[in-house]
Amino acid sequence: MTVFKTILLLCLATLLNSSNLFASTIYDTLYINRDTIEMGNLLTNRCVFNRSNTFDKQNAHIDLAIGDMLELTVFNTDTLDHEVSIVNGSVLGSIGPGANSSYSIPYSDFGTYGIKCSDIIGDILGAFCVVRVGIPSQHNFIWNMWETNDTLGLDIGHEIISQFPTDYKPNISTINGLNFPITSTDTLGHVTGNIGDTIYISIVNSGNMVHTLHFHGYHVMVKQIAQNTRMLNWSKDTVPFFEDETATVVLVPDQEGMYPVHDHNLISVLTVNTYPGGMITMLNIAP
Amino acid sequence: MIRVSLLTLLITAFTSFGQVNHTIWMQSRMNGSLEMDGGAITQFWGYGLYTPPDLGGKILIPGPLLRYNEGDTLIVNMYNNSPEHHTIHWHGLDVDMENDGVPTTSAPVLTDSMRTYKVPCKKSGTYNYHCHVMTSLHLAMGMYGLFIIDPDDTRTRIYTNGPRYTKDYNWLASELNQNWSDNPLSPGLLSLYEPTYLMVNGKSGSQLHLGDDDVTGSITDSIAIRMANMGYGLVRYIFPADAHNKIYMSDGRPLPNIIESDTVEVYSGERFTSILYPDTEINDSVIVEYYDLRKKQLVGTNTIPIHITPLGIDELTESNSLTLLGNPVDDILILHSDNLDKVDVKLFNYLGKEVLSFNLNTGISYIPISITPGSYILVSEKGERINFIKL
Ligand SMILES: [Cu+2]
Ligand SMILES: [Cu+2]
Repeated sequence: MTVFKTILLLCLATLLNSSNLFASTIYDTLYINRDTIEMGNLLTNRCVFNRSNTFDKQNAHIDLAIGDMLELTVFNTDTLDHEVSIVNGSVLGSIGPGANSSYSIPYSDFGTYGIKCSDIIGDILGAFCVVRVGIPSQHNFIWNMWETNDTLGLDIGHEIISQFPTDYKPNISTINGLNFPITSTDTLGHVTGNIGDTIYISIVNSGNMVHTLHFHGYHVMVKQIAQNTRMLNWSKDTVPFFEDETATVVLVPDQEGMYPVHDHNLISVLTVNTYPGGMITMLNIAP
Repeated sequence: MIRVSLLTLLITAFTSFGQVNHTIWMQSRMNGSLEMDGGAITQFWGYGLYTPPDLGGKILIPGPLLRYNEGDTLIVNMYNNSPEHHTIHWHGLDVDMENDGVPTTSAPVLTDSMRTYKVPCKKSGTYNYHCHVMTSLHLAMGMYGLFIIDPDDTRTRIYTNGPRYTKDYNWLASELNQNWSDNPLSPGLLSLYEPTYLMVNGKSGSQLHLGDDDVTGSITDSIAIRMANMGYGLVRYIFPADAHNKIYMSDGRPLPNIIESDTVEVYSGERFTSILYPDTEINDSVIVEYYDLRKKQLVGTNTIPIHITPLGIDELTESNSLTLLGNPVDDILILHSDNLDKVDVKLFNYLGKEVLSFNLNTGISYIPISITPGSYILVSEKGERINFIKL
């Protein structure tokens, strides 16, 4: 009887894992919000996708099963037009101030994807919603990397300039809208786990330059990547993420400890002029 | 069957016997000076080896090359001979937290004091080490070096059971900022970093053209190149097409697919290992491009001369996995291959001109040849070669 129960449970688990059996239509709503934020002691402008019309500097994310159809309604609470696009895909449409639009987007493959503002203001200011498809519900994390220059952000936000500068000098570097050491309090990004866990990290670059993440303590496997596809299934300790890259890496820790993960372009690991800061988060692995 | 088991046992015993503990003494100092291309002198911080108790000796850019075998354990006694704290982070070597060299998670090396790092050499490949204190400044000031793990003492394969090479070169790209070097204690806003000097192995521009850094060899060579980047941006190494570059490894791990490409892109902190299989005479340069990731611009270029001669008779070594049955040869080459996979083999005349190419399955192959009498050389894709005379 026990054996039979075990087999039944195993079958059930297999069914639950092949998530396309549960493919369905998922309705979701996002709000494009924009506001001034303070990072370190620097003020800049930030544009985000939130779950309500209250501004939060951290972008929302959406979790789907493989095969799901996303029926997404986007409200634009901003005073400016915003164009919404599938990251590395097609333009969905433009939404005027105070208006909303609905889109149907099918997701057929495992991995990490995104929906972003592709108008210059929303793009530079980091409006980028991570969409995770078929990622196991346990041991998963998101790192949405974004950097800016404080004055550039304000000038873009106030429509004083309308073009990306040729002499870009970023001085704010974030993961999930936070800089180190505040990233350590971010349950979405601060990786916790045990030796032997299979940890899925969804990594996107919503910034305006390449970010190269270096993992201390471990190598990770690139399980899915939208742009730099030749890195698929590479075992790496240092991974470049192009602009608008969306990727899923898998970490199976083989030792305990606290290890940083950080941009190896060392202008990005500062909060204002303090090191360590900026684009750093931690892996916290227990025995 | 018993014989095989005994052999396996013997090999295992030998392997564990071959694992060695190495102890070295390294020091960090903040008073290095380096002559740059054009004669300017820059100050740098760095690492050097020393023999205790004598703290003399030089610090270098890059720091001393550390090179050990897979399975070895390296014990580093690190003495901080400078006014600021430093550490050594073993970049890519996946050491434990205590030895990771991150000052917030493991003890830094305080001024005028010593600590010991234990570094297990787990997997053959290319790695780095660097200071992780105030990294944005300390790394840019020169506190880094290259760390290579070989499969074994023979230094003929890039990783255990991996492809063979006959010669190897190691290139660590990095940068120096003149203003920071002049005023390291008041560098200003670190996020405004701009490189002044773009280097390979601590040299730039004409310093790479003095002959010491040339890639040399013959068409019979398979030339391993290990490439690392301790700069802030992207470094692109561009090889002449005739060098037939194949990329095998990154970050100390074999790639799932071999990549044939003239260009190897190495972002900050990455490492790649290639093997060149030149098949014709080359007198050219490898181009090293440095890109600023913020401006998305090429900021400068270095060149490394490469000279490949048609044939290097004096450099020939015996083939291990291929056997030629009968020499001199009449009309048919009878070859035996130990390789489990198909092997590409090329046949060159004494001038280095390719006259035939074919591939060999496991076991014995009969290859008919209709070539003029003379001396010839067979070169396998793994860099193995066999000389023979055609009657
Ligand atoms: Cu240091
Ligand atoms: Cu590093």
